[in-house]
Amino acid sequence: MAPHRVLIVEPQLPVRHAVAEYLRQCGYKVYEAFNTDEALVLLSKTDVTVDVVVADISSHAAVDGFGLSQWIKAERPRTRVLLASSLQKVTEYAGNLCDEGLKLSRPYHPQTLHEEIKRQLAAK
Amino acid sequence: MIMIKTDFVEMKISVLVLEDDIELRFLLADTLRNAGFKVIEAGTSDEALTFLRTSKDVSLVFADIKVPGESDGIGLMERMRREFPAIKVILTSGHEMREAAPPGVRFLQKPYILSRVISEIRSLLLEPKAP
Repeated sequence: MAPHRVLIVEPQLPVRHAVAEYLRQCGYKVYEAFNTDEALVLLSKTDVTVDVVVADISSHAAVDGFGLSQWIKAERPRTRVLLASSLQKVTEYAGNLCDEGLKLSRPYHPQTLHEEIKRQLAAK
Repeated sequence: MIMIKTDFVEMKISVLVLEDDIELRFLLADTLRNAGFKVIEAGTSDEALTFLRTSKDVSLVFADIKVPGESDGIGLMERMRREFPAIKVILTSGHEMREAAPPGVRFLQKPYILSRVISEIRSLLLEPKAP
């Protein structure tokens, strides 16, 4: 059986690399993107199919995590999205949460992420 | 995992790929992982340098010359020579920049064949570090 595919969208390389390596050890095929711009290129211009996208609400790009989530809902409806944010940012983005729902509070342990990914895959 | 075996030591080999074209970076990283390397992916010279300063296990950097960040690939390599002289470097570019690469530094012209990247990395890793 082919491994499930996860895309990590995370601007901090040490965090992204550590989470990605953890998930690879768990058996996932992991793609890495610095920001939502890169994620959109990967999702729209390649034949890569992704089961779960993990992205921060904020992004160092024109599109934030919510925008990426909305694009995925419209264009890749079989792909699940996990949005993450630090608690401080929750209030700032509270207006959007009713639609998208926050799934992960930063900082999160990779094992917590793994559990949430498993829940998302089970819900597919 | 690629291991270099000496008489006494086995070392895991980590390669940092600096490439701002995510399609190419993804393809290259995937190929290198399938070849057994541990791969760190960076899209800017700033995040590459930050990672190198916090990690001790990178053996080789495969860097595009034209990348975003405070330094280009050559600038990064010059800083690495000062801060991390033991880390080996291969530069690449889609532009004709072979002349821009400092003497003695390996340069791979884009577009390259992925198997060629693997063979260049393997041969450079086996090369003794210049004094």
